[in-house]
Amino acid sequence: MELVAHNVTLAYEDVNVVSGLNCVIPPRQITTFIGPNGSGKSTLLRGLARLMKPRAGVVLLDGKEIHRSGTGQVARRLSMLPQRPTAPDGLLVRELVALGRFPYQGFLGALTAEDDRQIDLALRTAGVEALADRPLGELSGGQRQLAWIAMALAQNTPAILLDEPTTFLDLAHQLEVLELLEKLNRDAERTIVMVLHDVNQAARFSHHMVALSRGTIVASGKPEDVITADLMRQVFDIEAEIMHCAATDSPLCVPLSRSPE
Amino acid sequence: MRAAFTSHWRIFAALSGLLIVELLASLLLGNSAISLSHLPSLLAGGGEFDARLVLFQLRLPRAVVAMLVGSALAVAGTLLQGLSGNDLTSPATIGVEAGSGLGLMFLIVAMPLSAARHPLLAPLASILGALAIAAIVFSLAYRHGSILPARLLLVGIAVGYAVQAAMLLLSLRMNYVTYSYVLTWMSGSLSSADWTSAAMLAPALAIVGSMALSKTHVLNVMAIGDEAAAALGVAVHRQRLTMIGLAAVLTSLGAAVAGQIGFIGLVAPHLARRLAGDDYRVVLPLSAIAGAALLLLGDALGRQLVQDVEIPAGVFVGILGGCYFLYLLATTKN
Repeated sequence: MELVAHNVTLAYEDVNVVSGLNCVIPPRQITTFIGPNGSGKSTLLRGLARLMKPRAGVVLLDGKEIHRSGTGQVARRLSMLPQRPTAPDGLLVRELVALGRFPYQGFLGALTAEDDRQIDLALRTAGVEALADRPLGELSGGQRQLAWIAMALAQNTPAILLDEPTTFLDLAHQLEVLELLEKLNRDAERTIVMVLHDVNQAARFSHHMVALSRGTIVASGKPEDVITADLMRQVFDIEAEIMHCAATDSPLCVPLSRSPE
Repeated sequence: MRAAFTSHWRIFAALSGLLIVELLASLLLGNSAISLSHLPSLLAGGGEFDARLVLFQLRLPRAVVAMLVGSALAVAGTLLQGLSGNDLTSPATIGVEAGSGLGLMFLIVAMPLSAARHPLLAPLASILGALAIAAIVFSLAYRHGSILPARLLLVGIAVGYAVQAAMLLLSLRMNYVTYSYVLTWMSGSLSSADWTSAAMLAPALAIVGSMALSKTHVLNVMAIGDEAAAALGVAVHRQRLTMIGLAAVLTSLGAAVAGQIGFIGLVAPHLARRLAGDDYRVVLPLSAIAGAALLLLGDALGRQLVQDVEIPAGVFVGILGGCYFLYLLATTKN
């Protein structure tokens, strides 16, 4: 699975959010976009998931222009979990996960044996088997997020894109989600691309990081190369001390103060 | 699909049973009552001439048209509520219904004689009016390659009011007789229903209705939001356009025959969802049955309740629907 943004400009109405940006998503790795609010990280993710059409440039999925490929064809290669997705409260977890099979179904949506197998597998992998027959409205925020991830898993795509999958979750549930994504990458060789707000969690769980500021990529590479005091100043406007965490073998950023004007 | 139907078969059976009872009642009751024991022989072509005439030329076509129109409006409402994610959307809110009224009034004012001579002109004019207004609403709501539901509703309501103003203006140019005819039509009446209108509605409803049914799976996916649906490979904007088009055609068909009873398109899908949940593959056909039952009941009440005066079906549909919503309001906690 190859996902490449080539010279991409993305805009809402007339405001360019991302302009002339180049980005290669390394296959079978975990890539995280970081940056302050309004830096264009979510917009870039949406562009990569063909939810936004580039004003200029192209997004290539396996060498083919993503906006010229069939929507169903793309949906079998790439799944995307939006920020704070919503569903009817009465929808059962199993029904939600079954929607993930849409790209493989005929027009009336009858489930085949293969669909059922994939749904069960997705429920099990995401650890929400026990919740399968509960309505979404009854679940906690963390359980609901896992159910949504199970839906993306049922889509059975080599790449999964997630927009801030840990926002609004407590620490334990944040780790639960990130550990699940790590496991999916390690055991099932899925390519994971996500937007995270927490720089330390990003450094801890990613192979590859991309730092954005004002719609352009400021730095990209391994976490230890991206997370530097200079970059924190440049991207987030903060002074920070960067340490090495022995327990996770990843860089740890301790924010100290806002940068002087 | 199969599982969805089997788990809801009781609701389907109950509603269909109700519909059959209503159908029998509306065939048997009326100014000259027909007894149940005579019905089989009448249906087989025997019995008295007068009774056969009442049954085959008046009551049966009227009941059939009531069921067809009720289903058409209910299916249109289900589509609109599903595609906009808003339970309060109905064929009336997107201006289509008013458009069909405008078409009809235009015809009556511009060519009163031809309108009286050719019975098919009136439905044709109201379908054209509905589609013209639908086209205006869509083009005003269309922006950046898509129609946003919220925009569609606002534009629809605004255009609806403008159309009603135009209708009022037209009605000032009418004499008393024509105006009372239009007024009856506007309150939603089945008094002009005959086999011709049934023959026009049935095939159209069969085609557009099955197209709508084929969209139910997509509606289920669209319930999780535009972005998530698009990520699953749904061409959200194109699907929405198609569904709005289907709903507009269904509404104009219903309005052409029976006038403004779009309220059914609000109540029937509501009722179906409350009985069967969120799966549109179940809700849509159930809503069609509920719509048929509701209009048949409204029409039967309008014909029977007051002697010698026929109250338009729309009035009773409005009362029944209003009561249903009051009941919802009283029993819903939040």
